[in-house]
Amino acid sequence: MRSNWARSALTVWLAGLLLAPPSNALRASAGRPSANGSTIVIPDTRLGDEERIVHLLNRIGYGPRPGDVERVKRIGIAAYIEQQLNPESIVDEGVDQRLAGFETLRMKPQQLLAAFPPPQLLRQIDRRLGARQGMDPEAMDQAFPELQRQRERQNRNQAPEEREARRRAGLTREQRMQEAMNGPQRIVLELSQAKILRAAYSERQLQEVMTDFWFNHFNVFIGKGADRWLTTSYEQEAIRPNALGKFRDLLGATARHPAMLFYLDNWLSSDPKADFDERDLRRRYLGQMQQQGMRPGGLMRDMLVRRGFSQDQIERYFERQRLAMNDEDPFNARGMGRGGPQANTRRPQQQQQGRRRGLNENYARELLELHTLGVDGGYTQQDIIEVARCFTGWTLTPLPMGQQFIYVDELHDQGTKTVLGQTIRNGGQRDAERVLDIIARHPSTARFVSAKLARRFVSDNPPASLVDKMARTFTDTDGDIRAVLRTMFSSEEFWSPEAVNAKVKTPFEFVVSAVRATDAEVASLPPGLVVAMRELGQPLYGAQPPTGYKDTADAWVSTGALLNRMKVAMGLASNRLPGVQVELPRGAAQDSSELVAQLGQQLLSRPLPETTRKALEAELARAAGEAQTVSIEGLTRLAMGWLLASPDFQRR
Amino acid sequence: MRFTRRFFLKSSGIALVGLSPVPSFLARAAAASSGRGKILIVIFQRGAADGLNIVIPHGEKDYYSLRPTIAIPRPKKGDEQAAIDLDGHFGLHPVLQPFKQLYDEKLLAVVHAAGSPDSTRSHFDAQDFMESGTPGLKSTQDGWLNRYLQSAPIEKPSAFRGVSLTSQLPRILQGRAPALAVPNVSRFGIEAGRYTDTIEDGLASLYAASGDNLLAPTAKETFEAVERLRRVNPAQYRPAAGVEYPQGPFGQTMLQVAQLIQSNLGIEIVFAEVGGWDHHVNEGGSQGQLANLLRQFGGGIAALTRDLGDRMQDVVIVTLSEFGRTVAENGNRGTDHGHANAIFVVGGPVAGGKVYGQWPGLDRDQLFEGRDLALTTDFRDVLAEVIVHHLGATDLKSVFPRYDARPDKFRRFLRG
Repeated sequence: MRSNWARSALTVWLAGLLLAPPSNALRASAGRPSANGSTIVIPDTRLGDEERIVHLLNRIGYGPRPGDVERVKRIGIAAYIEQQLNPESIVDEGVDQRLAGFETLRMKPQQLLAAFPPPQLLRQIDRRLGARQGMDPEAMDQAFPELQRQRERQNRNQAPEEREARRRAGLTREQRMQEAMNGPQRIVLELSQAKILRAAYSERQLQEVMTDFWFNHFNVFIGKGADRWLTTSYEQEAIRPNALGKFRDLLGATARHPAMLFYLDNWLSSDPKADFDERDLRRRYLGQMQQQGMRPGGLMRDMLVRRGFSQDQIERYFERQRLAMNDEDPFNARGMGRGGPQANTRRPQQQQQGRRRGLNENYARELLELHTLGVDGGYTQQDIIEVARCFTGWTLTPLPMGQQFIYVDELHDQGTKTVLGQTIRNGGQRDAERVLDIIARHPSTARFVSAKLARRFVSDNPPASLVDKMARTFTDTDGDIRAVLRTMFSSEEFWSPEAVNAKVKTPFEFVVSAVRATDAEVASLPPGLVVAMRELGQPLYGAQPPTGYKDTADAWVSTGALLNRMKVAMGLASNRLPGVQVELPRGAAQDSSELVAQLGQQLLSRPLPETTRKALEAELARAAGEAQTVSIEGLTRLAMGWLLASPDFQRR
Repeated sequence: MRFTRRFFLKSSGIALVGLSPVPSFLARAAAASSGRGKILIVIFQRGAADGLNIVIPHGEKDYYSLRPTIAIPRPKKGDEQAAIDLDGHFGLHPVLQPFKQLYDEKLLAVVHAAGSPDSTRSHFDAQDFMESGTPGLKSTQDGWLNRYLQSAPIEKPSAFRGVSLTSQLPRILQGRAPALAVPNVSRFGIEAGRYTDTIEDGLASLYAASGDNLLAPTAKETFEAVERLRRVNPAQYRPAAGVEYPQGPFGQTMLQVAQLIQSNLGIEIVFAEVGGWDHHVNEGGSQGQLANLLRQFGGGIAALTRDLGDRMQDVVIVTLSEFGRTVAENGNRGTDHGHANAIFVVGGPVAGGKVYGQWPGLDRDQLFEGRDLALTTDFRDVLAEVIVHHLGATDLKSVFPRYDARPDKFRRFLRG
């Protein structure tokens, strides 16, 4: 077996040597020059044709599905890469259909807040509408069952874990799921499930890989306060559309997105010398919002409409608000707070403490260290402070106004700043844009970003020669991500035999590649794979630190982690993961060695290594002997699980 | 030869007989694998526990004026609602009677006004800082418990050297050193009913045959751990006579800690957590939400201490919570996010029966930012004392980088 395989690989290599280099043929078939005139050139390395395709599918996307290798063979490697680099040219109806039922993906943050209100918005409604304004308590509870639950929980006076456990124990699985789907948890669930479905089924594989890559690079944590309502929009509007575009656009989109402003606290940062009155500031918000065509109070209105209040009732409510608060506007609550949904029940006087007491360097530091220059990128603590000064005033409207991006000049440091040696004279909101211009074009950024891309696509320690080439393209094209990738896909380093299977899959890559290899059918619910991702230690959108998840083997290879991968593999193969179905391939094998060969080819898209094949055959024979009642199907599923759990499948 | 799980087990025992003189790292390994090594248990109270209603400064007038509805009454004989006096100035919450007994037996100490010096009032950031051990620095990759494991390598460490009783490995234990997340000791393994052995053997053999120099050794460790745990069958463990763990998840977690430790698996670090301390609304006083949670907490830790009995001579338990809560109660009979907090230290090596630390006072001008208990002991000084004097660590710099942890800053709550 091995010698056959080796011989055929050798034949291909010899053919390549004797005839025209395959790269030329492939270049010709790519046909289509890119925007900057360069084309993908596949260098001639010691890889066979099929090996190349499998390697490519493992890197440009989440691994081959049955039939993918043949498809790329038909299209041609270079043409396939070019297609992937231009995702808008790829029809992707299958995924659109799968995501059609995921309502929250199409909702703006303000709509999400109104539909799945956070506790403090509910409390506010309760205070303003309920007791104080004489609304019938029963009608309130009917419209806002969450409020009733909150109250019940408090009155029962049990330890929170105990009472929650007791309450949940009384619910069926369906009821629990239903409850989750009626609350903010639904946003996280749908976003996570959509990520899995896209990665598994989208034809735009590179776009999904790059969306994941950049989200992780510009990480936000969906569990931090308001980010639960903001992350969907962050991925859809800031990350995905820019994933293959210009780095500066991507950087700018993340910098001003509310999810990032909230996550890294820039919304709390202000000029320490700023002399402002919170009340004036609120008026300023209102003015700004009107100027920008936003509807102050729109969120409360939407909430009430959604809960079945009539226009009449709502108008009366707002009228009462106006009468009740001469010098206090109805939107005076602060934002979600730094401490998450439960953080804010302070009295107004206390509310004003603890916010905006000066410069917050958090975003500035991560912007330089993680998003652009890199930790050794040549900046100082003073640069961090200067960058933070430039970003003062980039903030968010308060929660009842929807936590939207707003620039408030009163909070902005009006002085002159010096960032990385360049002087920035006060230009208000433009100061931060100047910073982004400077750092996006800094040579350290070109290197830092190129190295990180090479680490994702090539190996944990990518060759410096490759990073140099990519960084050069980055600089030459003003940070054109597509061009940088083109350089990488044309490099010898990418196609070097040492790069093949050099990467250990992250849990996400493992799960998605298993779904693809087995051609599994993932339903929209229940979200078995979302749960599996938690158990594998990579909860989706759940990376707390701004570093995101690591992309190197050391982070993912540990005892507990490996055991969990094995469990997921066995669960998948035996159809035990809720919401996931694996059909066995047709054309049943006659004996165990045929079975092993067939499954191996299907799951790894290459002949099994001899050692794995032998071990698997022996184990299968032993299992068949031990359990005499086991069916062919049972044995096939066992072998499939073993293969998915095998070390060969953990690599890409 | 067939490389099965069973094979790994046979070949992985450490031969110690006749080794003399024993190098220190081996002695350490021997101690660890014989189950008599030193153990540190860290229990995280997630959500910011109200230290001022747990270890009550009943000697402070301001405590009572600032907490009109939730203050715990001053100690009074026969009054079960009143604080349990410790030293005339501090008292325990009335549901912490089991802690009072440990305190009297000198097994329990308190370090008050301790915590993270970072002023953040975000649960997210503050927990992160307490677990990374680098307040203010968000880009730290690993947790301080993992860095401790890295800094004190032992020959052939047990797979159970660092264990977390959680479903995911928490930040505090993440990092280069191997550590294990065991959500439930009786469900650790492939769990395929009667096929479990077949499946595990098959996988062990696949990994051994692969020669993958990264994955194969990890798989070997994994199956060793699974097998060892299954062999000692901690689920059949019965607590010592008279010891009852509280019902509820935390009590069960404490029971599992005892099961793991008594199974002599070579455990050195254990992590467990208990959530639900974020009492912004209706916190309650002597009774109520905090009291109910605290009953589980105190009862669980006390049961574990009693259950381990003599074994506690080698065990130190430290409790942490990301920050304390406002000195004044808020408009909802609860408390908001504050600053310094109370830390419990329990165990045989503890010079208990004392409230350690420097009390900053509750006068308005003594408060942090005019509202919170000021911090006088950095949590890293508490932890450093434990890992140096209890675990014998020597490399504090790598466990708490960018921090000057020095023995002269220790509060000296450990004996000797």
